[in-house]
Amino acid sequence: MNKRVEQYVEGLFVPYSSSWNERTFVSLVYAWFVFFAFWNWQSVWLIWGEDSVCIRYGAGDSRLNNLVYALMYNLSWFKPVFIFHLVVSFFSIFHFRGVFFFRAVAWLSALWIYYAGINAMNAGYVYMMLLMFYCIPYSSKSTKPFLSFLSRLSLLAAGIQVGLIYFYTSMYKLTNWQWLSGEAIYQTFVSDWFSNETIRGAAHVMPYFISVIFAYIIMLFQFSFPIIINWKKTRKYAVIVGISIHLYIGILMHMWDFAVAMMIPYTLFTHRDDTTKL
Amino acid sequence: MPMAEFDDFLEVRYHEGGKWTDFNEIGTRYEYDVDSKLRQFEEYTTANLNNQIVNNLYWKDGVRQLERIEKSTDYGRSVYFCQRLERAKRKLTHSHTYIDSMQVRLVYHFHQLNGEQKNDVFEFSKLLVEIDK
Repeated sequence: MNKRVEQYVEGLFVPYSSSWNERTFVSLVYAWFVFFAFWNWQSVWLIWGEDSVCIRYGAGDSRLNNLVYALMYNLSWFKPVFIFHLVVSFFSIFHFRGVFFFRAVAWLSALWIYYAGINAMNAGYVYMMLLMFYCIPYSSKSTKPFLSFLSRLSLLAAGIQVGLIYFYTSMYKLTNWQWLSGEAIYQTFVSDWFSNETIRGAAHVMPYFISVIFAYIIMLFQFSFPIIINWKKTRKYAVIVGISIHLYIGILMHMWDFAVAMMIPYTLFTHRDDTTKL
Repeated sequence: MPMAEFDDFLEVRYHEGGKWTDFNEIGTRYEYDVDSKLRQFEEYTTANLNNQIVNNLYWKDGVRQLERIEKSTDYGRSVYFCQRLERAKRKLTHSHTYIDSMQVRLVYHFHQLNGEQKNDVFEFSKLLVEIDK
């Protein structure tokens, strides 16, 4: 056992050469921020900056607060910071020497943008900021032991983060009567905001147990995600179910930024041997 | 977070050119999409206003009293939201019609669950405003 652990730890430091899915994952993380900016282009100028519709609020006067809320206190800074953020996020998509600096600046500017418009953001942005942070030291080819270790650590942290999110979400659902009774799904089907006319109409006439079945599929999927995504035999099905759930969230619940954010990490779990079979 | 058993909508009307307009749902009035960040901010605003109703609504002589809610930042936020959207719209359309007052209301649309569809409306006080450009 000890020998295996030693071998694993030593393996973290050997020269690293990435596979396409790992490179694609890191690229997509930064591409998401470019997508987010263009997807929300029309409302960006009404959420942030001098024409903002949000009431500015005061945070405690500490160095950390003054740093993270910088864009909220200096409304005129938004436009240059936002354009700068777009440019550095765009360059961060690519894998070249020194991209580390672009990625670090992209993360910092994303943090500013988030805190200046926090009330208009969903969990998708926070999630992508976490992945963005993990990917800062990632290098697609590294011969130096420490850089190889950092690259592996980046991907490992991102993978663990995704697993934890699914697992903890399932824990919440498994202890919530609305999910256990299937009502959470039913409320989603009949909601004015998170559904459409066809689904609402169908929900009113279909048997209630269909909502219960959907609720249990989702809970089971999220609970077992860390295992089924890492087990070769079930990985393909985990990817299909996961992508289907997030496509539903994007298309019918109108939360595209969140849905795309949740789908991106699936590239990390798509291994080369799986894709050749597909 | 539990799934809500209702949808809530923020509606606004203005006293424009000497007449009150009809109440309009703000997403419809200001033409933003359901997947817009403005919609997300609207959701945050209505959720907070809803919390105010849960915590600060009271009855006097059988009449609903909204004055405590109207003193809250959450109510102020919803008024400011509408006011700034109107300002942005007027900038775009170059409208010069004079607005001196506005009124917001929160409309609840309860989901049908083994029963009838029910609605409820909380209409807040009329306010004097100045929409600058």
